[in-house]
Amino acid sequence: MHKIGEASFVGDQNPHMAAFISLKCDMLVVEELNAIVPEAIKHFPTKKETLLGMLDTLSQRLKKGEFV
Amino acid sequence: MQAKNEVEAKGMKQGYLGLDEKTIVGKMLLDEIRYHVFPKRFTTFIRNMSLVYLVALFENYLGKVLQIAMENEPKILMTSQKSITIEELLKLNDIEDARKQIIEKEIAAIINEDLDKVAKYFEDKFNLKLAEVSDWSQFKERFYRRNIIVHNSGYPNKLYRQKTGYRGKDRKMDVSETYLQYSIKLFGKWAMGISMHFTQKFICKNPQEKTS
Repeated sequence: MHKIGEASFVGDQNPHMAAFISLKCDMLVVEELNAIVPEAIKHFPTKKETLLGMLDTLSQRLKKGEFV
Repeated sequence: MQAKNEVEAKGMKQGYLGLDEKTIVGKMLLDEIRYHVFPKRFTTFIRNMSLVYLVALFENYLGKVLQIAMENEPKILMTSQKSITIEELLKLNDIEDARKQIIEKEIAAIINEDLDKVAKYFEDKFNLKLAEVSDWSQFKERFYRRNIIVHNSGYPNKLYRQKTGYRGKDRKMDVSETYLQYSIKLFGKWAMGISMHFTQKFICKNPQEKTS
């Protein structure tokens, strides 16, 4: 909280540094997002099964020669 | 027993026994997706898009810095080739609106340029020699990699090779965890340097403009 207040003060005094602080905050979000990606994948199976189901159906239709 | 030997000899999975070749290929492909490609693809997608977003953020940052400088020191616009049409002028309320529109056009034109031209602009207008910074080539490479990810499925094209000096194979250039972390660090360092340069040039020189 203290750091946020400090950064905000610097930003109020200096718009060029405010632009930097704003960029830095957005980049922190990107960094955090990537840190949780391995965990996020664990919650993905439902959608993965849906996709695999679609691929299975497509594969069956290909085998029947539907697209030839 | 014979089937078991066949499996061991050919390295095939039991589930593939008795199937024709086309079906085996199809199943192997699905297995590949199931066990390897799909989770990796998801991570790669997030990292690739993170780089695309980082470059967009940095371009937005550069635009913001230019806007602040131009608003504080309108003479920067003196050599601008940008103009507004009579139609646009009639829609505006006052000269301040006209100035804002010129600034907007000027910034859009600069930021959409090739990075080498952006660097030239910063050198000519603000005496900020970006291309002389030691890690300029690494910084620049991030922008051209973003371009090949968006426009060329991640494969190096002629422009990428020309601008980055890459002479390697035509392999897909995804964004690794290390590459992304370094990019974030690099962009932060560059933004800090640019903001400090503009602070010294405009804020320290004209302290009364601090809150303008």
